[in-house]
Amino acid sequence: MADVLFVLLIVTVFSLAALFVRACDHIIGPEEAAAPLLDEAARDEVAA
Amino acid sequence: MTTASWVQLGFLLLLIFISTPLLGRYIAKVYGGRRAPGDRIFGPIECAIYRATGVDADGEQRWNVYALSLLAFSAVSVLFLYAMQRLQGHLPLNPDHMKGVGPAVSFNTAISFVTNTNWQNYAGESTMSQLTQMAGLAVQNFVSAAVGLAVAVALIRGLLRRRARTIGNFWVDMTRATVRILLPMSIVFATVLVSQGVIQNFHAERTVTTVSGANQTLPGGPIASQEAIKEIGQNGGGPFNANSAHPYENPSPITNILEIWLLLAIPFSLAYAFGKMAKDSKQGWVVFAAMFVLWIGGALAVMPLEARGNSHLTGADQRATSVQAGGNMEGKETRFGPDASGLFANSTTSTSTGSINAQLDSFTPLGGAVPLVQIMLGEVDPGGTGSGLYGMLLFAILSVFIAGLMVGRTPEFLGKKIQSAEMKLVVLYILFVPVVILVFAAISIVTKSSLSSLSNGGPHGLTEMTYAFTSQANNNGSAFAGLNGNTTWFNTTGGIAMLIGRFFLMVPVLAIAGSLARKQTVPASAGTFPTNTPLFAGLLTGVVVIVVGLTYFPIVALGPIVEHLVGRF
Repeated sequence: MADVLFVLLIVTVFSLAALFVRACDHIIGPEEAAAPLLDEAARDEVAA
Repeated sequence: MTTASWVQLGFLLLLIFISTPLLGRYIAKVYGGRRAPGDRIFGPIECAIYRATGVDADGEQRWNVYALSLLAFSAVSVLFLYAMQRLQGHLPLNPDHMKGVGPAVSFNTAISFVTNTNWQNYAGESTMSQLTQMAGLAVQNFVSAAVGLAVAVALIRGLLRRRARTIGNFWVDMTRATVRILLPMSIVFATVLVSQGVIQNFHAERTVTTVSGANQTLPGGPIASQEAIKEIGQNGGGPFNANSAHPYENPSPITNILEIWLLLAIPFSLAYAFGKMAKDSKQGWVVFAAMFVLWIGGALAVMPLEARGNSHLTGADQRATSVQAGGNMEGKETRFGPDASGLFANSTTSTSTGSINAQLDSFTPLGGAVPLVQIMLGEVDPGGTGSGLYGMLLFAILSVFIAGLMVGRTPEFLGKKIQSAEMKLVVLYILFVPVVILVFAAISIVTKSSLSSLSNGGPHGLTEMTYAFTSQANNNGSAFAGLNGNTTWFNTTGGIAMLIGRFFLMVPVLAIAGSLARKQTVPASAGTFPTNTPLFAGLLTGVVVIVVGLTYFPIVALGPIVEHLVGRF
């Protein structure tokens, strides 16, 4: 019984952390709100 | 402080100043470009790992995918380690016939090692099988440190990239940290430790007859291999309950200084690596300077406090002579003395390592306050593997925000404008840990069952209770002692504190990385506050001290400061 409770507790805290990822995503807002983004190749060109 | 103590400190500083640029340059190359030293050796190993695990090494991740990968890996690690402890009685490599570990201790220990905390509510030599020690705990010593390093590198990329969607690949970053940095260093220094007398074998316990005719049980085990990564990865969980005070883990003053350097080497080097990756070495030295000032300040406080001895021990000879170390020797090893014990305590608590070579509970009140405050600083001076750097960089963002408020301009860091989203995330980062510490400690000091775990009352008991949650929530892992943490309450709340202190801090760090990576850099103007100057290093140091001071001053005042003023110790 204790094993089940501790495993559930572990899963719950990590699930909350995953939800926190969504909350932080909400805080920083949609990507479109920032400057237009570049794809990988274009980014490397800019960096170069 | 004795001449020998100054020589040891000087030798340690020499090692730090030599290793920081060397190791920092190497780390920057590992993460900075496509080619890095040792590609011929490490490349095939990494490719084999990627093939076996199905990782696309060229694919990059947005910050949220990076964070979810990290959380998934850590969740599976906790569950795996929990199961391994519970089932160790049925698994091989168990010469001492250890039974399965209890559920509450397994819960606390699994989280403790996955979060790089290594808080231990058990005695390793009488609880864990060799398989659990090696395939469970020691493996987490590597990968948990690698996870911290990965997050730091992701934040650096976020700061440096412009208009980018991605911040790297978690699986690649973690693999490179393990294969190219942690494993080679551990192999080299495990060998060095063996040469200095640290044991490395697969023996069960042996009973021997001493010269006085008594029987003594001598433990065995693969100690040197765990000792090296214990310090290099800022883990701190030792195979023995006495940790680095045990002669099989830390046999001499030479190994003591070596172990202190090992636990400081990577965190200080990461500051230099940051400067190299940013192509502005001064920027790296500024972060290094802030870390160094806070660390050396603690060392120069705690060493004399312990060397001076206990003024309330009347009649005891506490002078340093040719036959005794002198000072406050209660709870300390005679082969180290008060200075080297204080230096170790300061270093282990400022780096999130948590290994100990002396009983912190027996330090003088103000001497014991130093390690406590070092942990409260948030493990940024120089902090844990990766966690020290990303913590300090978040304080740097807070510092430019405060400087921006002073002069009325939009704050910038490395050419990136710091706006409300980043500041909200920085505030979340700073508030989570104090809330966890203070809430759990407050509940525990008004609950009868929790109070019964304390061996001291009054301000010293408050310090013991506060230290336990401070250490766990900050992922340090050192114990002040005087508190029986092996109860269902402390195992459970401690486990939750460690999870929040690790992952609920990493998520906003990665979110900041993702947010900053999207932004275009703005050219420096006359109104830009330069962040690569001694002035900024001073501001950064001040912000860390003030933010922490305001948060924790009341509880530090009620604990060690009151104990010192009352004078009953």
